[in-house]
Amino acid sequence: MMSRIQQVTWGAALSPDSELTRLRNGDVQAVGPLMDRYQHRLYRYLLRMVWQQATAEDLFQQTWIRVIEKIGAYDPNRNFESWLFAVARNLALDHLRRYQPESLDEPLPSGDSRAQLIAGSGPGALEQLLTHERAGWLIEALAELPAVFREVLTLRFEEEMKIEEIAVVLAVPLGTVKTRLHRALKHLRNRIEEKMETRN
Amino acid sequence: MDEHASIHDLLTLAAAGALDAADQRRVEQHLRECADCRAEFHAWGRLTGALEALPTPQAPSGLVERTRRLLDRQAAVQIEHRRSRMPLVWLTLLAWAGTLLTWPLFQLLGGFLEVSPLSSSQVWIAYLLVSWMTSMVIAGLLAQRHRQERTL
Repeated sequence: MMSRIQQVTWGAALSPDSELTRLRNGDVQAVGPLMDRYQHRLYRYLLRMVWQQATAEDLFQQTWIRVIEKIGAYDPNRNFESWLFAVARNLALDHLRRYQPESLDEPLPSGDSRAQLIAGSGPGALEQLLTHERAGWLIEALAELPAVFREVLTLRFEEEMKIEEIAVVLAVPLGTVKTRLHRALKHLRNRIEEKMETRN
Repeated sequence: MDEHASIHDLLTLAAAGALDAADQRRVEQHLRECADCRAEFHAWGRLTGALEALPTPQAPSGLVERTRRLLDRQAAVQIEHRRSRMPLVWLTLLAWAGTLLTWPLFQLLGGFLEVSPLSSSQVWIAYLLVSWMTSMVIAGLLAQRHRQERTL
């Protein structure tokens, strides 16, 4: 007898709800259209987390394996996107814990004072940077941030998630998301201005 | 903390669009009156704007296809695993049922050895318990080994 899996072809154009229903009913091929839809966003998020292309690709594959394994635990009333990114995040954090544990260290709040000093020095250097070599320097500075800051910045500004959605992905209260976002921006600006000072 | 300092701290979140409506109104009101904060807010706005405008890395071509093939392989392995597991389950059930059928044998042996029916029942129950528990321990060990193999 031909199995249900063999009867369905990859990439069938269906609504997300129907894909999720099929997936929850054990039809693993329903993951195809979901992968097509989220491939760039998910890959970009993982790349920003681990900063290595090969690792991001590996984590991308592991994420979809995990989605199939854990789809039974997914609550259909929840936003699938937040759940998907949370699955990817957990895998990325496992990887970072194993291979780059130092990248998970969140700088102490005392770091803020220096950032505040630099931030208070005015927008001139920052403006200069953003005008001239914006993307390259910004990406470089972003790469130097701890993963906890990188992820909140990428979710907010690249994935354009709302604060509430980010809180679901990170499994933290709304206030924590805001604090991390605030500190991440300050650290990023601090790094950029340090680079400018070194360059000048 | 005075209003200026308090608003100054909110400028990052205001530029990130992460404030609630009440705080957003407070910030906007203050920005109309304070040139320093206005300049600072614009600086944060340029940074968040630059983050929004970052070049977006695309998933490499072929990544989705490779993932599909991987998932296909995994699904095939799971189906094969389920298929190979079924005969083992039936064999185990058969073996357990087989031990139940040894009751007449124990009665016969008890008669030969002139053991009381109560004693032969006790020996038979002990035999059942030992054989079933042994098979459960073996099944547990096999499952553990299988899990380890899957992890590898």
